[in-house]
Amino acid sequence: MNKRIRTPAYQAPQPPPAGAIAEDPAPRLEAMYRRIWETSMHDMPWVNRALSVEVVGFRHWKGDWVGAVITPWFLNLFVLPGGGELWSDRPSGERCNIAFPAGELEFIADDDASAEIPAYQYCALITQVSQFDSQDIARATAEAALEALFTAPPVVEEASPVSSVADADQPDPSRRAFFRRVARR
Amino acid sequence: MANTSLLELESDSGIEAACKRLSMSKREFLQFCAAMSATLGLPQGAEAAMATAVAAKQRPSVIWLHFQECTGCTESMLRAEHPTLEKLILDVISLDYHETLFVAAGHQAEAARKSAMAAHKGKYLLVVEGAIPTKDGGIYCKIGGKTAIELLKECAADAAAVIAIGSCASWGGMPSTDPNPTGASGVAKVLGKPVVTIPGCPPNPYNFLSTVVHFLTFGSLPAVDHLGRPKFAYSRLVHENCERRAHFDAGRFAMDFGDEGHRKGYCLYKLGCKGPETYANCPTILFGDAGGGTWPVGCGHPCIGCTEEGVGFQKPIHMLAKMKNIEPPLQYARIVEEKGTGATIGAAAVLAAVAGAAAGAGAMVAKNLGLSHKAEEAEKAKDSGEKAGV
Repeated sequence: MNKRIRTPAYQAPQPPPAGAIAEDPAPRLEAMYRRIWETSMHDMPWVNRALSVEVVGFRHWKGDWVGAVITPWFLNLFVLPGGGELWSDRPSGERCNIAFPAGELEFIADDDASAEIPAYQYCALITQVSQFDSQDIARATAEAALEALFTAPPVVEEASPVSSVADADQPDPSRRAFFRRVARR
Repeated sequence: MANTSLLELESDSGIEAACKRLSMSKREFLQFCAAMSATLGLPQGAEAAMATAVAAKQRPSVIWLHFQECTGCTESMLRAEHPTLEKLILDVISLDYHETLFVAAGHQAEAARKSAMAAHKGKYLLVVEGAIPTKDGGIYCKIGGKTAIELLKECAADAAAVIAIGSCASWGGMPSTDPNPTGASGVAKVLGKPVVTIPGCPPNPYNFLSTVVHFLTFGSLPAVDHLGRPKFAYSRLVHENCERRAHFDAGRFAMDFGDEGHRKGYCLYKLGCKGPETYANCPTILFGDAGGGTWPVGCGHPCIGCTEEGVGFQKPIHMLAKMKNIEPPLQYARIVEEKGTGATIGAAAVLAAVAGAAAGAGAMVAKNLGLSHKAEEAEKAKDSGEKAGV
C-alpha cells in the first residue's frame, strides 16, 4: 500500500510557542467572536439571533485559563495558554486529552496568528444552539457545564468481591514492577 | 467471572496461542483489545474480558449475504490500514458463507450455507451487505434461483442476530437513489423488524469488528439508536468531532476548490460538507481505516454524508448541509454500566456527564423562565380583568 495515502493531504504547520496570557482573557476572546459574528457569521441561516457573544466563567486552573464561550452558533469549552500545565503547543486540528476533576476530555487545537487570541484549544459542547430560547438559558447551561467539569464524579463503593480478591494478589501495577516481571520471565 | 486485569493475561496460555495464531506480539494483541474497548466506551477491565473472549471463545458462525452492492464493504474490511484488522476479523468469526471469499461455487456453495445454518441453528450471525430489491416481487436480484427477499428471510429466521453492513443494507444506500428503479430497501424494512445497522460507504471495518467482538464477549450486540446504529460509533455528528471545527467556529471557510482558504485547510461547509447532518465517527477513527489521506475532510473534500439516509447519494455534493439539532442523551452512549472503582471513564463518557448536567440546568432555567412568564401573563390577565370589571 502506498505510504502517501496514510498521511492527510493537508497538515497544519506547527505554530510558534503560544505566549502565556497573564490577565483575564475574557474581553479579548469576546472581542474576537464579536468580530467574527459581525464579519462572517451574521448572515448564516442557522444562527440563533436570540443569543449574543458571551464569555462565561473563565478561571485560572493549574496555571492555564479554562472557560466557556457562547455565540449565536456554538457553545464550547475553551482552554487558553496561561503558562500552566494544561497547555501544549499543537498544530491546528490536532487532538489532545486534558484531565479535569470530572475526567479526561478531548480538546482540539486551533491556531490563527492574525486573531486576537491566536492559539486556543476547544471542546465542542453544544453544536447547534437553536435549542436555547434566550441568553439566560445558554448561560445557565455553560455555567452548569463548567461546574460539572470541575466536580469529581462520585466514587462508587467497591462492591464486587472479585475485584477485591483480585486486588489482594494483584501484582504491583507500577510500570517498573511490570517491566521487572516481564524481564524475569 | 471474567478476568479484569490485562496484566494477569500476560502469562495466559490461551492468549499466547491466540497471538501465535494471529502472528501478533502479545503486546500488540493486548494493546489492540484495550484500544477497541476504549472505542466502545467500555470501562476499565472490559479489555481483558475482550482479550479472553477473542482468545478462548468458540468463534461465532457468520453467514454473509451479498445483494445489490459493489462488495466495497468486504473490500474495505480486507484492505484495512492496520494489517492485522482483516486477520482479526477472519479469526474472530468463522465465515461459513461469503460469496466473494468462497472457494466453493454453485450448488456446493449453497449446500455449505444450508449445512452451516443447520449446524448453528439459532446461534449464527447473519451479516447482510447490499440492498434488497423489492419491486416486481424482488426479481432484480436472484441467487441460486431464489430472490434476495426469500434468501434474506430464510437466513434471518434462525439467526441469533442480524447485522446490516453498509449503507445499502442499512437503508437502501446508492441503489435506492431516485428514481429507485428496483425498489431497493434496507434489511430492517424487508424483515419488518429492527436490525443492527453499520452504515457507511464503505463503513469502517473497525466498527464492524467492535460490534462482533462485543457480541462475542457479552453475548449481545452493543446499544443502538433508533436507526439500529451502534451508539459507540454513530452518536456524534462528523461536524462535532471534526478537526476543522475551529475554522467553522471562527468563520473561516473555503469558498472554492483550490482557493486560498481551501489550501489553508479551512472549513468545507460552504463547499457542501455534510458533516453537520451526518452521524459517524470518521473524524476520530478516520474513514474506512485507510489512513488520514483517504478521510475526505483530511484530503480537502467535503463529507458527502454516506452514512445518513436522505443525505448520502440523495443531496448533491455541493448542496449546503442542514444544521442538525442534537439531544445530549442520545449523543453520548454508555455501552455497559460502570463496574468497580478507579475506572477512568472514557472522554466520551465525561463529555456525556458534562453536557448532560449542562442540558439539565438549561432546561431548568427554561422551565423557570416559562413559569415566571406564565405568572406574569396571569398577573396581567388578572389586572386587565379587574380593570374591565371596574
